[in-house]
This record gives sequence, C-alpha cells and structure tokens, in this order.
Amino acid sequence: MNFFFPFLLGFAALSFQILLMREFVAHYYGNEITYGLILSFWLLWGGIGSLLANKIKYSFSVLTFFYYLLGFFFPLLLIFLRYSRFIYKILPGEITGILPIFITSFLLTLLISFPLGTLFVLNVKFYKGKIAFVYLMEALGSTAGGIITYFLLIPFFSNWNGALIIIGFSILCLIFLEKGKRKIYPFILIPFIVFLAFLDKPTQKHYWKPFNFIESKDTLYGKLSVIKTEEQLSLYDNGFLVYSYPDIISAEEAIHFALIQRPQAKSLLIIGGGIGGAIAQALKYQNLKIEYVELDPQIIKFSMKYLPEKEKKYLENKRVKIYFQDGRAFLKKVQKRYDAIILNLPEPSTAQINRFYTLEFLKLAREKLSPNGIFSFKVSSSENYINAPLQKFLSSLYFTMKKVFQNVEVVPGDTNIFLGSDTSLILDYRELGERIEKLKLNNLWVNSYTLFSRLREERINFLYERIKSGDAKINLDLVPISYFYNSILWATHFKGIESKFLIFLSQISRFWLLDFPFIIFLIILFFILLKKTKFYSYLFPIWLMGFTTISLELILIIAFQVNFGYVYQKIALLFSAFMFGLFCGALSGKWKKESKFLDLILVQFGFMILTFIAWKFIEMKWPEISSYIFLYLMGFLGGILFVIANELFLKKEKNYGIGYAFDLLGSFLGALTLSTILIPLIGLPLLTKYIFLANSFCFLFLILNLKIRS
Amino acid sequence: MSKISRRDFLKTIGGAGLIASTVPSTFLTDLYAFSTSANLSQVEAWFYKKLPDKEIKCELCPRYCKLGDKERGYCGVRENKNGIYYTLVYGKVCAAHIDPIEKKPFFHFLPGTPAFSIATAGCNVNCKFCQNWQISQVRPEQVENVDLPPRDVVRYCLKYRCPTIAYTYTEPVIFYEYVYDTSVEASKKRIRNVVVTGAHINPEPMEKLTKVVDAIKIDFKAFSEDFYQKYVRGELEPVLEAARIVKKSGKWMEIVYLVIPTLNDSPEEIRKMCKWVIKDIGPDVPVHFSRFHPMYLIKNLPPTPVSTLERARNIALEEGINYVYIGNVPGHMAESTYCPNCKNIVIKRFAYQILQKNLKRGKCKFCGQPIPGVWS
Repeated sequence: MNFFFPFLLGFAALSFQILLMREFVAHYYGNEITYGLILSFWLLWGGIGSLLANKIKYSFSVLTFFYYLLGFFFPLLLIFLRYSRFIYKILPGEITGILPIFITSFLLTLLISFPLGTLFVLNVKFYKGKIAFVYLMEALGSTAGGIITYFLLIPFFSNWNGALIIIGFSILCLIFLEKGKRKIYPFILIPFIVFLAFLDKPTQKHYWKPFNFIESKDTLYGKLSVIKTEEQLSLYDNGFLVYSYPDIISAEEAIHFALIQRPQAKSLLIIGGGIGGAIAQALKYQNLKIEYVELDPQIIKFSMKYLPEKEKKYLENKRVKIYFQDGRAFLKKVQKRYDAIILNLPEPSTAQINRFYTLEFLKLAREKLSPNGIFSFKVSSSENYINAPLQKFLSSLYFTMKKVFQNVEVVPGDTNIFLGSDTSLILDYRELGERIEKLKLNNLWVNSYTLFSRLREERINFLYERIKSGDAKINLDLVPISYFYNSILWATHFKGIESKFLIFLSQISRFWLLDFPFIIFLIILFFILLKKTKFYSYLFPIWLMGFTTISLELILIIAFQVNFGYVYQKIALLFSAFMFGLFCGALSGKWKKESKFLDLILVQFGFMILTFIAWKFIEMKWPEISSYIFLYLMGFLGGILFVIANELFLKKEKNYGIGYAFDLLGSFLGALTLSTILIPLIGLPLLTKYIFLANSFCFLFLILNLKIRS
Repeated sequence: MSKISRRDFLKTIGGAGLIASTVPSTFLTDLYAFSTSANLSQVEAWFYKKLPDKEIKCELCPRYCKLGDKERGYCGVRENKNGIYYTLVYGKVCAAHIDPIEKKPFFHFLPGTPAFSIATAGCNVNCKFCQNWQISQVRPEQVENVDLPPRDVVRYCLKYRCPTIAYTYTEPVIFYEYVYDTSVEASKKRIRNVVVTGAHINPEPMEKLTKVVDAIKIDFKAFSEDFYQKYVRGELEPVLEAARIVKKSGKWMEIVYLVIPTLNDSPEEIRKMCKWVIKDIGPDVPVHFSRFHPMYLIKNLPPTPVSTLERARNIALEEGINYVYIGNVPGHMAESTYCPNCKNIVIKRFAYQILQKNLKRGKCKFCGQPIPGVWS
C-alpha cells in the first residue's frame, strides 16, 4: 500500500480545490476575476510550497504531520470563509470588491495549497527521488478525487459535508498507512470532524444574519439559499438574488415590455427566471402558451416548497411547460418557432452566462422566432447618469443586438430592457399605455401611470445618445467581451484601483496584451539557449506545459459550453478526461527505462501538433467526443512531459520541488490571465494561435539545444 | 463620446441657441478614469474658516473637514487652493432630467407637475444603497459635466414649462452655492425651488438655504446613530437639527424614510422616529415610508416586505402623523392623500400620476379641512 501516500495527495488536492472554489463563489461575488484569482493563488501557493519544501528535513512523521495538517486546515478554512464577511463588515448579498476577494483567496489557498505543494516534495523524498512514481500516483489520486467529488459528493452532499467526508477518508487511510504507529492526531481530528458535520446549517444561519435563513442546498450548479423576511421570500444562488417574491416591479418589467409589443403572441419561451412572478405576468395574455427553461431543478423544488399556493398554481397551469436544461442547448435543439423569447438570466458576469448575450446566441434566438417575433432581455442600469463603463457594457450589448435584429429598442430606467425584432417596435408611452388598458392587464408598474415618465422623449434620447456613442466591441462566443465590460462595471462600485486597472487593460492595444509578453517569452528562450547551464532547458518546457494545459482547458470549456451547452456531468467528465490523461501519460513516461532529451523534444512536438489542432479547429464545429479525446491527449502529453523533463533535470540537480513548482507557476500564470483578461479581450482564436506559436518556439528551442549539445 | 453628441443631448432638453452660449465641457474621449482635463469651476465656497498656514476648515456640513493646501473635503467637490476654499461644481451639471414631482417624492407640493431636476457630482455621505452612486460617489472630474449657469437652468425650466427646479439625485448640500444662486435667479421668474437632501448640513447654511428655496424633502436613512455610522458614514443628530430649522422657517417639508429590511425596520425605531416627528416638526409633515429596492452595494438584498411598510405606516398613524405614505409599491392605497378629518381621498394617486383631486383652495372638498402643502 505504499503507493497510497501520493495517491492520497492527489485525491485530497483535487477534491479540496473543487469544493473550495464552489464554497468561495457562494460567499463572494463570483465573476471570472474571482474564479481566476482563487485558482491562480491555489497554483501559486502549491508552486511556492514545493519550491520551499527542499528546505524541510524529511522524516516519516513530518510527512504524516503535513497530511494531518491538511485535515485540520481545510475545515478551518471553510469556517473562516463563512465568517469572513464579518471581518470586512459586509452584509450577506452585498457586492464584494476585489480587495476582500484578493485577501481571502490569498490566505485560504496559502493554508491549504502551500502544504499540498510541500507534500509533493516530501512524497518524492519518501520514495527516494522517484518523482515519476509520485507524479503518477498523484495523477491517479487526482483522477479518483475528481470523479468521486464530481459524481458522488457534489450530487449528494453539501460542499461542507463533502469536504468532511474527504478528510474523514484521508484520516482513515493515514491510520492504516501508519501501521499502528499511535499518533494523537486522529483522536483530535475525528471528533473535530464529526462535530463540524453538525455545523453546516448553524454557520449558514450566522452567515445570513440579520436575515432569516430557512434552508439551503448545494446543487450541481451552485449554493441555493432560501431567505424569508416576513412574507418576502428570497431565493439566492451563490449569493445572487434569483428572485424575491413578491416583487411585482421586476416581474412586470421582465415580461410586459416585450409582450406588449406583440399582444397577439401565441407562444413564449422564457429562458431562466420564470419563477417568482414572471410566469404569472405572462399568463395574463390569454392565448399565450409558455415554455420555461430552467437549468437547476432545485430552483423549482424550493419554489414549490416555499411559494404561496397562488404562485404555485401558475406553474401548474396547462399553458405552462417547464424544461430543465441549459437554455442555449434547449434553443439549439428545439424545432419550433416562438412569437416571443424572453431571456431572464443574470447579467453576463461570467463566460458561462455571457453565452446568452453573444452574437451567435442572438442569431440562434432569431432563427427560432416567428417572422414577427420579439426577443428581449434586461440588465441593470442607471436611470440618471450612465458612466463610461456602463456605457461600454450597454453599447456592446446594443451593437450586438443591432447586428442580428433589424429593429432594436432599449427601455430606459434603472433596468434597461433590450428589445429586438425584425418588425416594428414601439416605445411611445401613449400607444403602449393604450394597449395595456385594452388588454386589461391590470399592471401595477408597467402601465401608463409610470410609462409617461419613464418613456419620456428626453429620457429615451439621453439613453440612446449614450449607448449609440459608446465605443464598444461586439460580444462574440469566442471573443466574449461583454463579461469583461461587466467586470469593469463591477469594479467601479469600489473606490480602489481595480476599476482603473481594468479600464487600462481594456484600452491598451493587442500588442501590449499579447505580442509584448510573447516577445519577452522569446527573449527568455534565447537567453536560456545562450546560457551554459542546461537545467532550464528541462524546466522551461514544464513551465510552458503548465501554462498550455490550463489555458487550453479553460478555452476548451468555454468553447464546449458554447457548442453543447452547460451540462454538469459533461463538464465534470472533461476535467476527469484531462486528469486521467495525466495519469496515463505519467505511466507511459515511467515505463521508459531512461529518459533522453530526444524524448522531451518528441513530446514537445506532440504539444505543438495538439496546440495547432486547437488553433485550427477552435472556430469550427467539432463532434462532442473530440473534446474529451483532446483533453485526454493533452493530459497524456502533459504527464509524459512532466516525467521526462523532471528525470532529466534530477540527473543534474537533486531538487525535487523545482519541476513541480515550474509546472504550477506556469498554470498560475495561465489561470490568472486567461479567463479574466485575455479570453474576453483577445478572444479564443488568437489566443490559441499564440499558444501554438509558443509551443512551436519551445520545440525549436529544444532542437537548437540539442544541436548546441551535440 | 464626442462633444457633439453631448451637445445633441442638451439640444433635446434645451435647444441649440441656449447651448451655443455656454462653453461645452471637457468631454471624456474614452473612459472617465483616465480623463486628465476636467471641467471644474473655481468659485469661492461659502461657510469656511481660514486657518494659519493656508489651512481651512469647512463649516458647511458636520464633518468639519480641516484641509491643507490642495486638499479636498470628504465630498470631493470642494478644494483648498492656496488657503482659499473653492467649489469645483458650481454650474457643472452631470445629470439633468424632467421628472414628475411625485418621483422626488413631493406629494403636497404642486402635485401633477414636472420638475426640472439637476445634480452635480459628489456627496458628503456614503450610503451603501445609493440609487445614484455613479454620480454621488465620484469626484466631478470622473463624470461628464455640462456648464449650466443659474440663468440657463431658469431658461430651460421656462422652455419646458416646469414650475419647479429640483436639486436632487446626489446631495445638493455639496453644491450649495449653485443651489442658492439658482434659486434666487429662479424666484425672479416665479419658478419654485425644491431640495431633495439627506440634510447632513450645519445649522447656519441650512437657515440661509431655507430663505431662498420653497420646499425641502429630507431623507431619514434610519433613526439610529449606529445605522448612520455603519451604512451612511454620517450622523443623525445634524439631520434632525436641519429638519427643525426647516420647520421653523415655515418652508414646506416632507420626510422620506427608506425602510431596508432588518436594518432599519424595527417597530421601535419607527415609533421613535414618529414620536420625534410629532414633537419636533409636527403632525402635518408628510412622512413617506419607501420600499427598498436592491441598489448599489446591496444589490442582492431582498426588497422590503410590504407588510413591514404597512406596519410602519400604522405606527405613524397611531402616533398622530396626519399624512403617511408608502412609496415604491405601485398601486398601494397609501399612495393617496386622505383627509385626516373625514378620511376621504383628497388626492388619488397611482404611481406618479394624479387620478383625482378633491381639493379646493387647499381644503378637503368634502369637509373643508385644510390640507397643508403648496398647492398652487
């Protein structure tokens, strides 16, 4: 059972990473910057941990101590995460700025990823320098950890309890591995964990104070929480308000601005957010049949459990059909046409949601509309003044709509409702008011009593002047710029430097974002080539492999979701395919008796080919299965490269942590820059091209190295 | 963003001829944060004391900012330049719209009329739930400003037949000099002036202001110092004092209390506030309990339950306040004005519109009970 130590390391590391990310975005504002920061700090601390581990004097008890330390730190970290809002004096539901997110993710990952990085090196020492074996077993552990977490823990347990199960399992393994060497740690840890198992709900209650927390559930898609304040019922998904009931203003705004344009509409598709009042509003139109697509079935379950009878009845109405699916995937498959499609999703703050605001999605929606059909969505805005970041955000959405629909109108106000159609649209308040009267909709908010002010000519002109003069790009599937504009908008809520920094990034040219770092990359390669010391020739490919694999993983997930929708199991399987690839790669790398420099060149050649494929195929339609194969192959190559390069390096210098650190530092850079900055600003096609170029130059560099050597 | 487009915007509210006489502001070419040339005024501020070494002490609001040379006050719109204190936003308007007066809300002040509403950037408090944070929580150089001297404000008002100018959206206290001068100018043309304020102001400037404006709406953010410290970064007591001054001045006043669930909605707090209203400013001052809608930093908080607002209204009525309204709940019966004597509807409202007016020369049509307010 000696293989079990590194296995356990990989197992715990990946499970902890997945669960921590899920918990983190449930407590802090979860946009791409948040995801990027937590993942990159995780990788950074892992790298630093393995770099510094060489200084730690190895002994078996030090090794096991670090494992126990993980078991102790992870629950502490979860508790800290839940209570950290009190330190920053923020309310539940309050938007958090980059600083609390930065500090918290920095500290939390330090607590957990640093010991993980250290443990990798301690394991190599334990196995007397057999780095390939440790890596192999770690990859196997990661694969198992990923599969178990994705397919067994997340579907059936809360993040909190899932983490405790992993820790409990790890402790049991350690007791077994220590072979009867009595240690005090398990006797402290096991009761601690059992005690914590009862604290999930009470700590959530504290988190939501002063609000009245009722129930929560970690679903495949996020943490859903039900809060009740007197009769006001609110459902949250990862801290974002899904709906609050009753909230007639939001419900009427979501539905009527679109439907009043086409009062005779017979069919309506609502993508997201149908519950909590919107469907009730749509049912006011007598002949309308409503189809409602919701990703997370638990949203409906909670609503059926807690909403008043009257509201539940609307969902059970014969004219209403509910589907549980990704909205985009649904729209792609559905064979019919609708008179109206209303997108009622959160704003595009992540790449995942941004898919519903892109040119390609709008084209798809238009295809599924009847000739006179109408499409609409809403985003929060500002009634009296539109600052430059909001202007950019709104302009990007407007120009994207304009590319698809012949007519686009935007309703002014604190919420802007975008309307698109190929036939006429009206914003005349008199006409709209008359229609509302005629249909006897009995609206409380969207009616002539408010519209005369909201749709005043000056208000409309003011909004249009701002939107039309905005200098913004079109939002595309593969260049998802709107979520970056949304990030800037988020950053302007705070008085720190974050908004200035993001604005600066959005203003600088492609040269500084892409070409300049690439030139630096080439200069570094050139200097390594000139240097006599050879070990960087081994380490550099590892660094690039770390960067390439995480970057292509992120890119592929985005492209996959665009093409095949967001299906939890499929995304989980994609990650698992990569991890399994790593394991198989490491295994085949280990089988080789002696690694040669030529092998490294060959593997790098493989990376060149693979990145070339990514570049050439990213804009094409490809079969779903090829995504899994691609990620498997990338993992496979990554695994071999790691093993070969490390063995070559270790022949020169006995520092076990350095190779691992280079891998993680490469990944760190990819995680930090890709989804937060480069993907939205540069786009996937150009990025994959540069990743291919980087790998090609690395291949060339290795060949030149070989020549110099010989 | 071009100069022309901004100019076009103003054309829509004012006409080309008027704008031609004003110098267009420095418009930001791209994003505001990188603007270098700002359109700021340099008009000496009122209510400050010169101190040795070119220092000054601002006495406009209870913050009493003590500033060295080149420093700005908390509001971000007043700067000490070489020992002289200047307002940077005099006539520098960043938002100008025409709104129904009910939207401010004023329910007893020229109901059913439009108000020409203007604001400059800046604020002297920092509420987590600010509706206009994009202009209130920034410095004037971070927004696009348009030159609108008092005379031009009056001209726009006349052109658009707005009987009232509302100083609103941000905090008029921080553009005090501009409010004052514009009000004086407007009064000459019989245009009324209303101020929508958090009233975080010192007594002396408040007294002076009441002499030139016609009505003041005061926002009570809560009725506890603790809330003011935590969520507003201000103090309650100066606000109360300001309200007393308005009352003393005889100018029309309405109070708004934005009820945020669980943060300032306890019956005890509401009752305390109502008792204070009765005692210090009288039962005829209308009190509006507004429903909180998620905004700015607390964008994900739930809206206020309507029952909480109704409870607050009942407390206020129990305590003897005559005109108690519920705001932001369209279609609610408490949007209308009821005669405290015969209980009939004196003014029937739906959202921002007046559906029925049963008022004759300021008195209830049914029983003759005088209804306080500015009705014509």
